[in-house]
Amino acid sequence: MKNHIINAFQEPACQHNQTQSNQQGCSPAKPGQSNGGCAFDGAQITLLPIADAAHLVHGPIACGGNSWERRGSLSSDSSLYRYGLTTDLSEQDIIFGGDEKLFRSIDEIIQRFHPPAIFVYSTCVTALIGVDLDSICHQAAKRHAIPIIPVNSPGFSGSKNLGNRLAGQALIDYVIGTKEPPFETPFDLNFIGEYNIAGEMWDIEDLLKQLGIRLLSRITGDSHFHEVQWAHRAKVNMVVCGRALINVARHMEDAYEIPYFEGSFYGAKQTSSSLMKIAKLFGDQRLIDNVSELIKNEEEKLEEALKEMRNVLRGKRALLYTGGVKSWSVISALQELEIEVVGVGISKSSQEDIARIKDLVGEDALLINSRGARVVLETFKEKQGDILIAGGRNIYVALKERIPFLEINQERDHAYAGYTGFIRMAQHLVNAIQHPVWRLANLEAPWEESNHDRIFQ
Amino acid sequence: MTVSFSEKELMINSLKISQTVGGVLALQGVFRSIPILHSAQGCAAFIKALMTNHFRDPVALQTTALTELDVIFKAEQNMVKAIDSVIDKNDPAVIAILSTALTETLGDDVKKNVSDYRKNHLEDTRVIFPVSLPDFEGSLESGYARTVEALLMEVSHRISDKLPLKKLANRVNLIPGSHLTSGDVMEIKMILADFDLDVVTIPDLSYSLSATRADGYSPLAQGGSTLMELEKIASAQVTIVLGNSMEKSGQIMEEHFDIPYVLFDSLTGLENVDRFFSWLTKYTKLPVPSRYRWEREQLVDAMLDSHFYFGGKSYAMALEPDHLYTLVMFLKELGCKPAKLVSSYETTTLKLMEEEVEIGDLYDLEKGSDNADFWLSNSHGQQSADRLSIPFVPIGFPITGQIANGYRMQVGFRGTMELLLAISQKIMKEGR
Repeated sequence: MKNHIINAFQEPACQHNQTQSNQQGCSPAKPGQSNGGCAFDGAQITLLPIADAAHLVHGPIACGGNSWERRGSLSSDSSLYRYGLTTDLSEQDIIFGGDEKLFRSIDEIIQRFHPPAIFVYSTCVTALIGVDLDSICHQAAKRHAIPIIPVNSPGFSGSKNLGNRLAGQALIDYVIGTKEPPFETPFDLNFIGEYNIAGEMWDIEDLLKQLGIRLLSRITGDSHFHEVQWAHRAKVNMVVCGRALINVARHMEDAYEIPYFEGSFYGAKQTSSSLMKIAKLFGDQRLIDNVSELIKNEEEKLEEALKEMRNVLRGKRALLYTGGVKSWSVISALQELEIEVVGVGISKSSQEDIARIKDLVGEDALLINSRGARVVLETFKEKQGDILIAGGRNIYVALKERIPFLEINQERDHAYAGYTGFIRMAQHLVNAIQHPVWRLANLEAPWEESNHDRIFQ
Repeated sequence: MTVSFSEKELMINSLKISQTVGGVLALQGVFRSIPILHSAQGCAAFIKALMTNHFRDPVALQTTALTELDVIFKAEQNMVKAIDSVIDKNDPAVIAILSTALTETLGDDVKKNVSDYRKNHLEDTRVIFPVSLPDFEGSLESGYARTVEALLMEVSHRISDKLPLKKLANRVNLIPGSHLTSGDVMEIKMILADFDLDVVTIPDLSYSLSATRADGYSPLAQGGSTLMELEKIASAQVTIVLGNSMEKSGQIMEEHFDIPYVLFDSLTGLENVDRFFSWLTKYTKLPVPSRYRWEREQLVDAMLDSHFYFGGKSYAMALEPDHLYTLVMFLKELGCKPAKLVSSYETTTLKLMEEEVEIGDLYDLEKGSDNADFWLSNSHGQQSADRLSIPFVPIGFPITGQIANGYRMQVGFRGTMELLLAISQKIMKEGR
């Protein structure tokens, strides 16, 4: 295994780290029983939201061609990230190494799009035939005088999670600290691991603006390349998506003494607590007072908006099947709505996530350590759930079983973060649970035998 | 020769989709089957996400989940483990091992490995077969066609010692191409049933990836032809092949079972549908049911009503070869002409077309379509159409942002009219 991959596994702040205590690391995918994405996928999730950069996939068509335009990350201006760029290696290219094609592809990108930077992703095939991505990118960067960044995260090197981390490493090695911001303010904040799914970061950014806090760098949802370069000038880092990019935060703490904390914006409680933590890390009393005032106002407005929905949601039973930070942050949001969380999938959660989950749900909830859809469905029935909350892959599994569903992962169309996002989420839960389709879809056709009474009445 | 090639080195906004997607699609039309991608886990995850998003239904698919170390030492072992695990957990009737660029580059001999597996499991009688589907050749269409060919060969061997003594009078085989939707296949099956024909469809997507054969969730294909139905292919009088890419499948039926095939390169557009019905009525010696007479009248009426809007319009279109060919003929009936045509890989069909077709990507199409009045392609083309400020008609694969992609029809009089209406609505509402 290459060194950088071993390093990514040994991230000291990561609970999957195999060298710490006796925890198991990220276990490899099992043949015939695997559903997850690969390291290449993970690297793209992390870097693709850098919207004005070009993202070039060096590999056969399946890697780039089957995966582009799949994410829900939104951008406010640049759209180059929406172009699917790939070298689309042919058999000939593979035999001759593909280096020439990569060089010419980089030239073409620069000539056609003039991007501020190019990220070049390796894939299984280019790793297998031994393409030296670092050297090619280095040469091309020198020739064109823009950053051309190798992302060595071939699919077969591991899981999506590892890919997130390798992408973070690429940001550390090649991007962060390579440019200065035009100006600084006393309240410059970075988000790390926030991808602006369905534009949900914009709701948070509005709150920050009211408080006079500037988002210096968004890593990486709705970002442009230069702002990631000057991320090292922030005063505070907030790690939004749990553990995936913890290496980036830790690096900035070591190298630039920027304090960081991990938080979430799902639910009012966590939104308020995250805002307060940000204020406290800035250490400014007036800011802290302003946050208190804002929290009070927002929570009052929220209670008013939630009043009627609470009557529907109180006591409902939810099963949550997602990964990482969402596995605990969404629980807390659901509990604020007085929904009982009767089961939680933990196959993609870290030890620390699991500890937090246990704190929140207590003894009665079932922790499901399996990736199979079947187990989820069985648990749902056994626990008499009212709604399943999971990622896009499971939507139609649930619908086949006539189970109300709320989508929570990266592909979703709805913004659930912050106070406004929380109201939206509550509304969508109500819509899902109360929908007439559950009664109608479970009606047997009148001509089925058990229904003869209905016909002949 | 009317086929040209993109001058770019780089692929920008790919139209082409890996052959494995076609392979996975074909298997969804075989009941209780599962394709296993011989690949890293991500290859399967991408395809699953892509197809689930398009069809809004679960997709049966597994992977051998190769890691960096497996690739070097034990790709075969992973394949064996994957087959064992899928059998143990789900008991499928049919398993297909689909190779990818990774395993082809590795030189892994899937054919031999699958044959070894079967030698070591002689007691297991289910269908297990390999298909070579490297990503660096062809596209979705060829991957689907190759998989259907491999499936037919497999079934042929399986029934070679129990061939029927005679063909059955009303039995026909139907082999639909990859450009036809579940709704299309269902429509064609209903037309055949109206002519008293008893049909076996290979593969049968008509009640897969939509309303399925069995209720509830399963990791296996929940619709499609059963293995028992597939084993009846040898008793047919004739094979109806839909789409030039499927001709080889028709030939396999002819060679193995002496069943002639009839090829329809398109069932879209008035003249092509007429041709189909003339053949049906001649073959069965039955009159065309009144329902279709009425549908034909409606289509002609819609063509008359819409000709003011379509006449002289030019369009930009990017689709897989057979699909492109079909729709070019149809749009010609509507009085439209292509501004530019792009397809994913070179085929004989494209070479024989009068119109010029470029093998390229959606960026090539965008660059040549400044004067087009409307745009037809999969949803990846939406951003191009938006930049050109012309109406976008989603067709092909994948399509996002609308439901029922599996049911939308384009075949027969009814399907042709549905397609005509869908396009005319866009042009009349958003056109310039």
